[in-house]
Amino acid sequence: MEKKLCVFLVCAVLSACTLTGCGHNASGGSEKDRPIKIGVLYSLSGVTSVSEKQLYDGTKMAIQKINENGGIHGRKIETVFADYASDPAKAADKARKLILDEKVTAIIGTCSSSARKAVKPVVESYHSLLIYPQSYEGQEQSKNIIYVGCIPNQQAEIFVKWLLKNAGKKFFLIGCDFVYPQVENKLAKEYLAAGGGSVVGEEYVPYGSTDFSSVLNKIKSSNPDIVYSELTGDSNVAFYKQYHAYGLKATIASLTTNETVLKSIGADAGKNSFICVDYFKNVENPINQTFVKKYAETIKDGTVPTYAAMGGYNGGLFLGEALRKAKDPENTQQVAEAFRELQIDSPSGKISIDGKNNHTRLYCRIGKVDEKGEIHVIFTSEKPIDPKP
Amino acid sequence: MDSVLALLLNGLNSSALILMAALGMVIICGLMGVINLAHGELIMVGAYTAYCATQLLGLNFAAAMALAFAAAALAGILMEVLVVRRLAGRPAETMLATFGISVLLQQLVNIIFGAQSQYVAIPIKGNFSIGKVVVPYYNIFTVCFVAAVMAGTVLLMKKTKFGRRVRAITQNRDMAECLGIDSARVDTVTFAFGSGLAGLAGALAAPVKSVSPFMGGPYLVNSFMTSVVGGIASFFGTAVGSLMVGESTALLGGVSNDVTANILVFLMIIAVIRFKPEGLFAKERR
Repeated sequence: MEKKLCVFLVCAVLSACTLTGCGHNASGGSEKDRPIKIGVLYSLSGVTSVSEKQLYDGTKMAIQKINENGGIHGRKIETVFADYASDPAKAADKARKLILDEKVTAIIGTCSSSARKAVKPVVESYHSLLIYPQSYEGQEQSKNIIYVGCIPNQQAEIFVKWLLKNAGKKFFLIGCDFVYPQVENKLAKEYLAAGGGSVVGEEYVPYGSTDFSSVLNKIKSSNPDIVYSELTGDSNVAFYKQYHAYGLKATIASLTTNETVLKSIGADAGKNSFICVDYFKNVENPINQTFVKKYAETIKDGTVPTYAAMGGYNGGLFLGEALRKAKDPENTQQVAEAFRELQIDSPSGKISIDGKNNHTRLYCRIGKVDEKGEIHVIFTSEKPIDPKP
Repeated sequence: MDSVLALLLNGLNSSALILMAALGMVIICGLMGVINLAHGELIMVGAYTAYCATQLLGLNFAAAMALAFAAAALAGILMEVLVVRRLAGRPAETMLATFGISVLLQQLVNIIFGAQSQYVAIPIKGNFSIGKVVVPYYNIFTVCFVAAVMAGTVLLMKKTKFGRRVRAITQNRDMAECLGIDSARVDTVTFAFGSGLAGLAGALAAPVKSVSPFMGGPYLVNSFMTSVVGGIASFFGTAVGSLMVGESTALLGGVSNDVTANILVFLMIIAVIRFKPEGLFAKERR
């Protein structure tokens, strides 16, 4: 059975190659007008759709912008969208279809690490290219993946140092029980040990849990200065609300909260907490002001751009730039080459790809939430931070 | 000592929320024999109604709760008349159909409101402390409110004509029909009432939990567990079941962590249904 499948796949790939080869010869003249196909792979359904909708919107806006400005040397970018419904296995399957059936030059997408890890062997075995727009826990490299989101040395390390200096020494670590929070908390403990801080407690709750009665009790009795959180989704929202209802005083410092989450938490429960990411809506520069305005006009769902939307947007801009720079924008190999040291002017600043590890040099920003629930950017790194995955 | 008291009080609050979510299921599943997998989504409908009423229409929380009951009850009536009734006596198909409805409701809300979670302000702010133990006023309200709803429901089922009819149908549907009870109508009203209670649970949880299209899942699991432990048609059993689940999750979570507590509580439930398959307080059925 497996053998048959292999033979079939080889045949399929071979015939695909010949077919495209023929196409090139026959339609030499019209090649300049033919759109360049890229795959867009996000979940608009299922549990991770909250953050992925923002990634998707960001990417959509970036591609729109490139096409409105004349495309890639006159050729439009055509996106082929696939929804993998928050299921990593389906993500791998859809990625394979995008590469083999749709013959996309590159894929931009996936959100959770489990989805990326499922797609990784697919893009590697077909020598394709994945642009991964989300921040993640690091510790991975692939020549077939471009990582656009921030990793711990660009976010958590700086955040912990800053908190130690400005907010307190005793940390209580909390997260949902999956890979990302566990890795982040392990790193946080290392940063704390190096910076003279201490960990007074560490707790994980089941993914999606919204009952924090026993955790809040532990936080109260261990009396920390900072509650350092990587809670996500519904758990994150419920935690802030209950934390406030129980009148706990330690400052919440989060790596995962954003403008959209904050809106559902409410200003009362969110005020005075800290957030550290690479981009906030309130970043002050002319490019961002135009972007925020454009976002409100295009994405009419009552949200404002978050770091997730910015990840999707940056991913799209980078890809556009790489397509422009490559001699043949349909040759994935050349496009991947073009990403090396590529620089763009993004709403989050001048950012670039580090050719050594395919990650992105990003700014690190810390925001403080005010009484009205607005995030004030109170710290920005002087220059983009080199990624150390 | 303080910390044990705090855990017990916190556990009482979670028990109350679990009981509130489970009550509707006990009525629908216990009395009508329908396993409604869209129960969590009825809770979500209630929570979103509370959001619309308080944040979009500017009504107060009491009105929001009444509307949440009404909206979920209406959804329940539609479900019963359009789907559940037509599948009477076919439990597998009913489960599949209600599961389909749950996905439908999730995506519908996802399309209308977006996947992001919505904000519902807490209606009773502040807290007080006994020694070192902090109790939010809203928790007191939650526990009292759930106790009142529970008492009201029991009275409705035991003391009113409607309740007697429901119980008659539960015991022997054919006989009840022979005696002139319009069982179809009673079914619809029972389903609506159970759904309404689910909506009320959603509104009650909205200010302290998250209001999102996919919030229903954990509520469904919790309600199902407690009603199975307590004995599926017994209100008293469900109350005890929710106390067991709520308190033991809080206490075990207090001494170990929430993940371990979850596992242990599940093990406990498996043990209960292994030795008392009908639940702890099952009624004898004829």
